[in-house]
Amino acid sequence: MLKIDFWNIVFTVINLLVLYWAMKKFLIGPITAIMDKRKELIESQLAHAAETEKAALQLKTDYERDLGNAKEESREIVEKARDDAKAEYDRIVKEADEKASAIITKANKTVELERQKTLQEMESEIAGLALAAAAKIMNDKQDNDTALYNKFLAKAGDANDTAGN
Amino acid sequence: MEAFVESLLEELECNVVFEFSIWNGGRVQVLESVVITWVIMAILIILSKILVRNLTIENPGKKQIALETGIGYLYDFFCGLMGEHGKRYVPYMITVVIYIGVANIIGLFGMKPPTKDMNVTIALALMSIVLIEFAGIRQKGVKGWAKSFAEPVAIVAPINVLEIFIRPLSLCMRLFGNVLGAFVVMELIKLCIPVIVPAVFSCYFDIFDGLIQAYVFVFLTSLFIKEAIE
Repeated sequence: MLKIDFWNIVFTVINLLVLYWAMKKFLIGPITAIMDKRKELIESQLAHAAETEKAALQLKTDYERDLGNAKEESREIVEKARDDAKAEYDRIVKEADEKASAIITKANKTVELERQKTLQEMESEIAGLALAAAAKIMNDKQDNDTALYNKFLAKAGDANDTAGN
Repeated sequence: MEAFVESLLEELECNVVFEFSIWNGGRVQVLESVVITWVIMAILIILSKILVRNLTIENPGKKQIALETGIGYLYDFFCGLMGEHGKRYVPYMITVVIYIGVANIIGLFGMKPPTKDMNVTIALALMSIVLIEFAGIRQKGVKGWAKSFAEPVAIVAPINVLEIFIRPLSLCMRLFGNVLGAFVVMELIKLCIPVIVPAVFSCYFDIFDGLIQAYVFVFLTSLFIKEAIE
């Protein structure tokens, strides 16, 4: 109990050193190693997650920018299409207007020409009739007035019928 | 009464287990405490071999979690005490706290605690003071270590030098005295009332006091190391 023995102190020191070595090798070493490894793993995973998040954010901003551009572009396209369509519409309407007025003018002209032609024909016909009537009056002086009148009417009616064609 | 004293002394005596001769003809007696220390070592090594098998990084089992929590707690405790520079001494402190803790409560299993033998506590204290001074020399160099005795003022140098002897002595005697005292009290109780009562007192004297002494021993050693490497 109170006996101090050099050799037993030496033995205990050796025992402790051996126990220290054994504990370090078999207990503390493996456990701290595995804890460190887990810590490393978690840290690397966290770093990886942060990296992925960063990349995702970058992608998102890219997409948003692209989307904004696309919207702008589509708006421009629609506007341009509308402008084009309006121009085309205006052009077509104008052309139609022009065509219509040309047709009307042409028709008017034709009608006028026709009328003048008819008038001319009628004038010459009337002149012919008048000439024929004058000649008839000169030739058949003896015929009574009634017969003459009937004859004139019949002749005039015939002549008018042919002129109408 | 005579027989009572006789049996108590018999219990207190640290028996010689075996002896052998050495080269100069002297006899070396191997004491019970050394042999029980071997038993404790064997138990600890076998237990750690069994417990440390199949450790995994992911999905650790209950056993591994308990083991990691325990060792992690001790590791953080000593790291906190000794700081970043003292990290290398943490495994030794863990070994010592486990050894003293097991040695102090092994009385529960009918063996005599090795820490009841002063040779063991002397060895523990010697190793502590060697470690403390080694840590100081390692951290500051021989010159810085020698100078640190004259701090904060030169006049306290003799007291600081005395501390080299006082520290291990106090460590050794505190542990020895507490364990011996607890052992004597427990033996007395066991001789007087052999049933039930010893179990109650054993909770205090063997488990509580034993673990407290283990804690105090490593706590003080860590503090001294911290002081030496600061």
